[in-house]
Amino acid sequence: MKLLDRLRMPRYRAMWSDPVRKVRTLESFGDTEDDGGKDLLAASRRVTDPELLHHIVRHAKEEMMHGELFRRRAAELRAESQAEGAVREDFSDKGSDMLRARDVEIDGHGFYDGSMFDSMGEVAYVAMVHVVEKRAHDTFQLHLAAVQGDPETEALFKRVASDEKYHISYTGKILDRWRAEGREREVDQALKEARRSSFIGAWKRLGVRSGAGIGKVLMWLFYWTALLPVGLLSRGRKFPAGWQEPREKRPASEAVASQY
Amino acid sequence: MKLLGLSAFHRDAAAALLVDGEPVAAVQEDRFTKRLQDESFPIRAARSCLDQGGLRVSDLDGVVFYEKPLRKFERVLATQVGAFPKSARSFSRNMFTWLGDRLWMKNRICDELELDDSSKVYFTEHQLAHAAGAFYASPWDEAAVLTIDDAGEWATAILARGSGASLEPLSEVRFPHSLGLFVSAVAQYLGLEPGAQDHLIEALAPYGTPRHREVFERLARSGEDGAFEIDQAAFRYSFDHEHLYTDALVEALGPARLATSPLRYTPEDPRDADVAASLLAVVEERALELCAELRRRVDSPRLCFGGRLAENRSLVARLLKDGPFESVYVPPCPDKAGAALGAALYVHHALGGGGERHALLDPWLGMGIERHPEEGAVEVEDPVSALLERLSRGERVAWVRGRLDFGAHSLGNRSLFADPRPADARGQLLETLQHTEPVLPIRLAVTAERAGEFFELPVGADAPLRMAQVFVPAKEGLARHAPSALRPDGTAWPQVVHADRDPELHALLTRFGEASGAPLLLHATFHLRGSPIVRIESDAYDAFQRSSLDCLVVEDRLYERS
Repeated sequence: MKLLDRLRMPRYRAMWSDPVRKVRTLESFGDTEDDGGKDLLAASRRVTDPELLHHIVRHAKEEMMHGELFRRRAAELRAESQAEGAVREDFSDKGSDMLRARDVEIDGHGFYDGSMFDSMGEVAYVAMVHVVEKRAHDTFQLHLAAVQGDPETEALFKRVASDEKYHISYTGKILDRWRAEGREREVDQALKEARRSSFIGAWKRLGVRSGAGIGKVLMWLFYWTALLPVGLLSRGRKFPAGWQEPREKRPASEAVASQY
Repeated sequence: MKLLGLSAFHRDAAAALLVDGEPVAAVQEDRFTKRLQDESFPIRAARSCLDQGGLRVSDLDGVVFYEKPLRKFERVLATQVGAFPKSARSFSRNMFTWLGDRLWMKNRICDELELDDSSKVYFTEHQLAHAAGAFYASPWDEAAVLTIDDAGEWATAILARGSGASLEPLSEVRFPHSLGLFVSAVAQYLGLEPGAQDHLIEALAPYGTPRHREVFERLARSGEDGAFEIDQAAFRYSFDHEHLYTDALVEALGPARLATSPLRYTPEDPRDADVAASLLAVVEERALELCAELRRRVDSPRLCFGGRLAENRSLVARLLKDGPFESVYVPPCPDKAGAALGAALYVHHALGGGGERHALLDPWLGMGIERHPEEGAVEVEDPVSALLERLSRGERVAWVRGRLDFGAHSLGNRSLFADPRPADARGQLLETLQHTEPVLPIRLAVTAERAGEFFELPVGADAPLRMAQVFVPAKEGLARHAPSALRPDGTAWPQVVHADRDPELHALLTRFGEASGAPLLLHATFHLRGSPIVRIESDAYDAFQRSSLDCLVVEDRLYERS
């Protein structure tokens, strides 16, 4: 295991040992895999290369099946652990929305946008899938290592990891074939670009998570220090019931310019 | 005046374009992102609206956000502090989001839209956006206006008077006393997604008896002059978005249902249905009391009803039946998404935009289908005949045409149809779309000319019947023609189709009626479980492939299962 992975492991272990986060994570994996499958299916309709078409359709089906398996496992665990807290929550106030990032509990993978094939072209698309699948395979290895003590979920990750090996392999072979057909420069450029985007994406995610984590800790400290006296004084404050007069006294034309 | 309205960050973000007071385009963000009720900033929806209007951001006279961020922040802060020390966890999460993002909404709007002039950004109060969406889109020049919602800034329900270009708020009930959040909390207790699965409460209710009515009467007390008060001992929603109720609710009603366990609605075990029936009975009573107070204050026999609870078809039916108003109008999209349009309408009138009022009696404000024929498409000369032929063979068909619907349901442009005569027709259609809740009702589209033969049509409900916003009692003949569309309480869900508004669907119903004896078709919105309504041809084809539908017609192209 690489040093970076070793550093990441406590976080993965903490997540898999919390029944509520475990259910949420499996559900989010389910959604992401399913989305990825749908996107691949959409992309497959634009594919003209018969070999690529065969693989991409199989890949899409496997992603959707993974989605189903993750969701099923989440449902079993939810029922088992009576994890009432693991209801799907309203995402409206999630900190990560600040940077338009999605607060997927931890490292799923998808293919982001069904129209990517059209905009990127086949070489860039396949290169992107290749890089994303490699990254996902590595990540799922970490999950597999962290999920010990839950043989069903472990088996599920093994199954997914094995399918991913195939996804890495077929995309690699297609890229090699294109190289052999004289498109070497195009393929290498696409792979370089995909790795760069992947790195920048990971860096951004790390930034969002660290920022969110630090921000929340600061707010928690603020709550128990500066806010403490105010909180104690306001504790149990009753808010008025019954009819209240509208607060806005300004003319409507003036009021609409104000954020208050 | 050209205004772009925006709603975001709660659920179902949307954008709407208003040109000289006329709604030109409106669409929800989830149609693009494929995340059902996506709450993120509606940048794709905004671009689509501008495209449809042939405008650029620089052409706009204003961008209107549907809430006042500073006033909402005041409410969030006050309720978090008031719940000390229980709010420790939610405080850090909420404040982080607010201080890092929501307080700087003007900048965010300018950044996202690449708008140079921040003085063009306007803000409305949340409930006024709902009220404006209901009143200015109605066909009336004067009316009483009611909104019942979860929460925006402080107000959760308001009474208002609409007259010409003026919308005057009269009184409001404030947070944390919220009928919308009361419903959300009970939905969560029932193992449903708050806000997103309210329709299941409505669907469950007729299977149960209101045996918990007294409990809910106590939890949502009737206050002075029709106002209501929610007992906060049973709820946490005032400071916690994740866990909305307390053990007090569980003590009163029994153990909560787990989200993954089956719904309990059978005669042997009607527990969930009883809770739903009791909840709805009390919510309806409180809404009737609000209406009585509104009628007392506003001398108008017409009601414009907006906000989240205006989507509740049982409630609209009850207001029509027992309420003090002669007629009711509910906009095509009364909930959060619709507030984007409402906010723009409010600012248009507040700034003296003038121009004619444009009644909104159809929801077709989205984009067209983006013609993109897929492999296997067969051109057909007459789509109605093609659909008719397949319906007469007992097939379940999807029909996609024209502009996308704005709102939770499609009224015919992104729709599925089936012959309603087989005893299990509803169940089969639900299964086709991967919907697994057998209690879900399905609409019956019927021609306006013959609707009275099958339904007890309430007076003053022209618009709600047209836009399928109300459950009505079924007449005896309906059981013969559409047995599975009947709900256990003897009501059904009609959509009355007029030849002048939708000649194609009207023709389909008429011709089907000539063959079957009744111009009725089971009608469902074309979206798979967990996905938003299909938007364009490519989406429709995707959904067709993943469903068990027999055929799909997109404009004049037919796709059949090979």
